[in-house]
Amino acid sequence: MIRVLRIELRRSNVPVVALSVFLVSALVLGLTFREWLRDWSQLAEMTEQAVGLTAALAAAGGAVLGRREKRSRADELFAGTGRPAWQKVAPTAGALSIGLVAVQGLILAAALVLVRVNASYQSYSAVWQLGPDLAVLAGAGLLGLAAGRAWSSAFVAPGLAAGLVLVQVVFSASGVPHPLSFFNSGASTWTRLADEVVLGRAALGAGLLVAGILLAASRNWAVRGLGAGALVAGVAAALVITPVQRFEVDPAARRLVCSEGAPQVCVTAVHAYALADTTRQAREALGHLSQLPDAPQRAIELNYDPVAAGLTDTSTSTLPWDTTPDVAPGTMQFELVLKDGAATDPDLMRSMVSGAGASLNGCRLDDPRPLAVAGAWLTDAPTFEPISPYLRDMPFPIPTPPEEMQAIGAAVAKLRALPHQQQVQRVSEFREALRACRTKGLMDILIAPGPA
Amino acid sequence: MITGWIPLYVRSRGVLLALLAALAVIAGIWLLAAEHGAIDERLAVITTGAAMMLAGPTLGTFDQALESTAAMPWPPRRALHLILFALLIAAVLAGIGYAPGWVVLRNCLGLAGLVGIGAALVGVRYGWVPALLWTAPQALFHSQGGPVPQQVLFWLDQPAASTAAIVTAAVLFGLGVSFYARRGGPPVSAAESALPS
Repeated sequence: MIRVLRIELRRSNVPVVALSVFLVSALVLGLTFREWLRDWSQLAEMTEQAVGLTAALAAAGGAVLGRREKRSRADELFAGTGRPAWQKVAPTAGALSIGLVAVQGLILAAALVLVRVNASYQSYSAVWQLGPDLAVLAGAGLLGLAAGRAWSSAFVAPGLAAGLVLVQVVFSASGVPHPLSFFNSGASTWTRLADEVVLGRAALGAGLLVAGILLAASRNWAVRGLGAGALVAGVAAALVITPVQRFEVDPAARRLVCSEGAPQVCVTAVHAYALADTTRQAREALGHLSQLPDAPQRAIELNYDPVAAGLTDTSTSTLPWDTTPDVAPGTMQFELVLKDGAATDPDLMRSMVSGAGASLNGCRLDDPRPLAVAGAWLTDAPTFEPISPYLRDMPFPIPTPPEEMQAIGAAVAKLRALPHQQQVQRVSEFREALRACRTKGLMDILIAPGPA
Repeated sequence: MITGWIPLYVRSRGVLLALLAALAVIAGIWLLAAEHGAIDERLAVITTGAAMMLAGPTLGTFDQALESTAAMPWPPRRALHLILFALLIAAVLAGIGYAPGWVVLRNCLGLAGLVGIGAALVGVRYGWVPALLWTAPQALFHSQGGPVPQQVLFWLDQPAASTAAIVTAAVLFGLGVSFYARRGGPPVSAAESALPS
């Protein structure tokens, strides 16, 4: 059997299909490498997307292979041998499955090892997803093989591939998360893949595999019916089991990990790898803030999570407006933006002093200029680039126009022209207004003529 | 003479079947997903891609070796085949209202070039794969605007005025048509050619 498999692996199109699957998976995971390198949720999302694309290729590759079987009339030759039908298709189906599972398994296993080594918080739901993903891929290949054996038209392979991608685009374009979609976004920093998703994918993979084997090997309508039944059952089970919201809040990921010494700085467990640099910057910010009375003595990472807040579309609803954070007195919150998995947030200190440390209190602050004036005053800077709370992780930040920077600089100079005691008083009052969500007239509190 | 040649050519490549399948996909998606006389841009992109991918298997016959022995000027015929297929699909897509005419024309011609490149390089069997691999991410991760390399990568998603998308489509079309017209496809073994279709 091994010898037959080896010959089949060599003479069939399995090497070409396996290479295509490898390249597509490598491309998807390679292009998003920085996003998932330290994040299990992101890895789970990216591997799903890779499988969504490679399953279409696998089905098409299987169809081309099946067409070869049909065109070569190999089954006529095999029909003369006294062996059961499944034995005749086993080498071809085995070679295709082995090729697909080997390359996809290799690349996913490499990604799992990379995250295991680089992530500071370990969550293994993405590991359990590996098996069902491989079953889906192999099942898609076998179904393609069955289709190619049934219809020898050259249009079957591109039709299958385009059809599978088309279905995924239909799910994606509908705007409503679908259990069978491989392209639902939904992972956020403190989430994990729900166990039901892994179970649903396992049911789908099992259905595709059984259906593929039965349909490819069948010589009578009873077995074909059984194969179609397995396919329907797998899809139905996946639809029932898989939740629409595929990622769930992971409390362990939100657990705080704190620095030694004082003042204490804490980040969530998923960002523990950035604790050293965060502590340095946060302590510098706390030092600046200590110029004000009733200054915070401790800083913790804001761990607002859209999934926890019940927002289904996490790609656009990441703004925690009108949510009052539950923070102990003397503790301030900061937002940690670690772009592309970097271990440092270059703007952390500035974002913490912007708004005198009170800008992340859940109130909508549409005008970031008064926040910048307070930040400049605290850091003794001539001017200060405005920082919009909660919008620091935008992919393409909009640069501040020079005239706005000048206006901020002029406001800072005006504030500094006041007696020192009054400056402190005004910035303190500004901070209290922010804490109380009084968001109108903030610039007046800082620089308007008259008593503070 | 010529009236006899064209039906034979069309039949040997399954052009009618491909066109009918493409029309079925275009009409089916429109009937299922169009709302208020318009369709989601991502669906428009993947439908265009799917229709043009079906041109792939028509770019060769099942006995290339035999056909190449015919003393005929194949390059203009091949080029015309690819261009006409793209124009027909573009006319249908634009007529139904999938996207503005200029965008549909640009995308169909660019994809025709991509399918032509695929057929010339890897043969008819897998000639549609490059089109699938470049269309699928554009439909799934739809992206408009941004830096020029991003516009080139997502050229099918760009609006009519995007120079980067026009240049990308033009380059693909030029390369694909000329390459396919000159080469046709890689040689197919006699054993493979001898297999019944």
